Amino acid sequence: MTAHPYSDIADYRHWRRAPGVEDLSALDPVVAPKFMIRQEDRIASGGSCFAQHIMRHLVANGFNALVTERAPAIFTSELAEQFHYGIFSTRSGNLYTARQLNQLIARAYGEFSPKAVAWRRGEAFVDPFRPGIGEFCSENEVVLLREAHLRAVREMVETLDVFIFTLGLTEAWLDEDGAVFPLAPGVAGGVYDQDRHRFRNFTVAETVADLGEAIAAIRSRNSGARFILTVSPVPLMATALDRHVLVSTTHSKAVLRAAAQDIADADPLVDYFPSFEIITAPQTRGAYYGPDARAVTEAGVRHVIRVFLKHYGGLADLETLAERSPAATDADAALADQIINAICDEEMLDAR
Amino acid sequence: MKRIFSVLKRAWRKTSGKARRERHGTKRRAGGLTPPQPKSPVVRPDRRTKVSVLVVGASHTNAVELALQEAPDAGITVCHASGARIPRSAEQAHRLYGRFDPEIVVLMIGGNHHHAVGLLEGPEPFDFESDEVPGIDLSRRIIGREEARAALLANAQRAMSGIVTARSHFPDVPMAYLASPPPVSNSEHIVKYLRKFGKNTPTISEEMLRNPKITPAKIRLKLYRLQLQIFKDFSSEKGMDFIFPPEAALDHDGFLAWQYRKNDPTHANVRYGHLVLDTIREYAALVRSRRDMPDRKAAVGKAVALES
Repeated sequence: MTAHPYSDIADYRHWRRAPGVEDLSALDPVVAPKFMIRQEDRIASGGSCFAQHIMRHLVANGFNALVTERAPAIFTSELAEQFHYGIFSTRSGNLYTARQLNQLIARAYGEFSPKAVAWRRGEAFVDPFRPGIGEFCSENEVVLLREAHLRAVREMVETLDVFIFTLGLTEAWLDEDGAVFPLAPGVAGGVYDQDRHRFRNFTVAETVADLGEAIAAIRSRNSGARFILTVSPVPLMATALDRHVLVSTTHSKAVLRAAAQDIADADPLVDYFPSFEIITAPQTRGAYYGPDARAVTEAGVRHVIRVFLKHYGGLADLETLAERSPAATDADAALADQIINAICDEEMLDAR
Repeated sequence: MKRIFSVLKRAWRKTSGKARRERHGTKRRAGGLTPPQPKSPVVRPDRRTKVSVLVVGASHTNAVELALQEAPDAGITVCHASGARIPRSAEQAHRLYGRFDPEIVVLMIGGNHHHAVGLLEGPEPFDFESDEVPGIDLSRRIIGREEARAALLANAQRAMSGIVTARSHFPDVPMAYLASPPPVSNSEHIVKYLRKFGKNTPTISEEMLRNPKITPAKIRLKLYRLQLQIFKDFSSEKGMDFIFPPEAALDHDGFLAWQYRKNDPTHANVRYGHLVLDTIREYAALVRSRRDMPDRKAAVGKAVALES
């Protein structure tokens, strides 16, 4: 037999030979991470719902999660979580699109001031750019707490060592000035105005541009910042387009996946981590999705974390790592195969 | 005098721990005393004592009890238990409340939550927006009003559980929640008597007691007013009336007037207790007048700052 380009490839490059088909726990699609994360590195996180799982496990494994928007000292840890403190580095709520991240950084540095200030939700007010974090008693309170939030974003940008960002969606709703919201007006506050609000489904080029600008904006204030991009494996809750939500999901994830690769391929300090692949892999036979075929199981998250910590944290042994993960080390163990809770603004689309 | 004092108070305060253990056959635990268990929790219906107004509460009922000692009133019975012994289960309620057959119940359970959350400055001094107390200090950490509310609510859970239990035990009896007294404005007064309160408040550390920094009065008043709103809403939700503290006891800014301060940073004195007794009597009169009036709201008078 003559030699050909595939004759001597490593096992991981070959579907049948790559571990994971027979033994799912052996599935490890990471080959050569671009950098390691030291325990003392300040790790910032943001993005879609799935990002919070990575953060939770990193903390449990002794890594240094950077939280710059801290809960009031009068809060218990339960209250802190209830009010979305410590879920991500800042109380940003979900940053589903790259445009959101880009605009958040621009807003933090006074480079963009959206027209939308506060939305009404019944008698209360919400922040249009993070409607899931809770209610405010007045527009003034929205503004005051947003100023504190944007200060925390600046602190995060300027002090982080590694930023883990999980891309979640391409579909978004924009205000007339281009400000992008995490949720359509009317879903969790505000009023939908078809003359003012526009739907946008971001393309690969737009996502690459937004992500590139956001990374450049962070680098301009923090030259040593490293980035790990992931794509959320959680399907869309609903699509604004008149097509099946599964088709919109695959399109959206494909766009995000392609954009993340483009960015990572062009930058030695930006890596792509394949958590999306681990959860959605055919090797799992769907085992990492819950009964609703959308939520990711704790087993799936733990698999992702095992692989992440092995490659980026130098914690090599998969079994050891599994035991270190929070679900395996405390009373949650009994719930290991159940659906884990993620605080997800998009869930609000489920309300009729 | 037919007034009945708290059974718990008599049983607990006037006997030594050893005597209590002997009487109730309980054992001493490593961490403290085992609460006594009455030999039979069954209360015979024919043993229930008819009372006009039953006042149930913890530390804030002290002022009322002392006022009753000075001016006995057969129409008002105080059932005083320490905060930890306020019934929070049907069985506990049966043991304590089962002795009474009240016409009206007034609850004074809890009420120091605003102090627990904000009497002393924590590591991060805060302020929040209030409709009732204007002004906000932007040099402090600004928290959302909902955040302040959540912190108070979390602190008030035990008290609320006690209120729910009492309401469940007396589902058809007219019932009101009587608010705790407002904070005192004078920081020196608080510092002078702080240790006693601080030792019983888990949110207050020894370090805070060693070097106490009292939260500005205005912010303490905001917390108190927010607490009033929380308990007013809660009372309404549970089908209870809500009674504000006696207006005569407030100073111009809404703090506890100096005449009603006690040698204690958070509780009011016996003079305040007399005002509360008047308020309770007015409430009782109101409840009785309601019975004869088809329109319940028409009976709401001005004398009792009451909302239902």
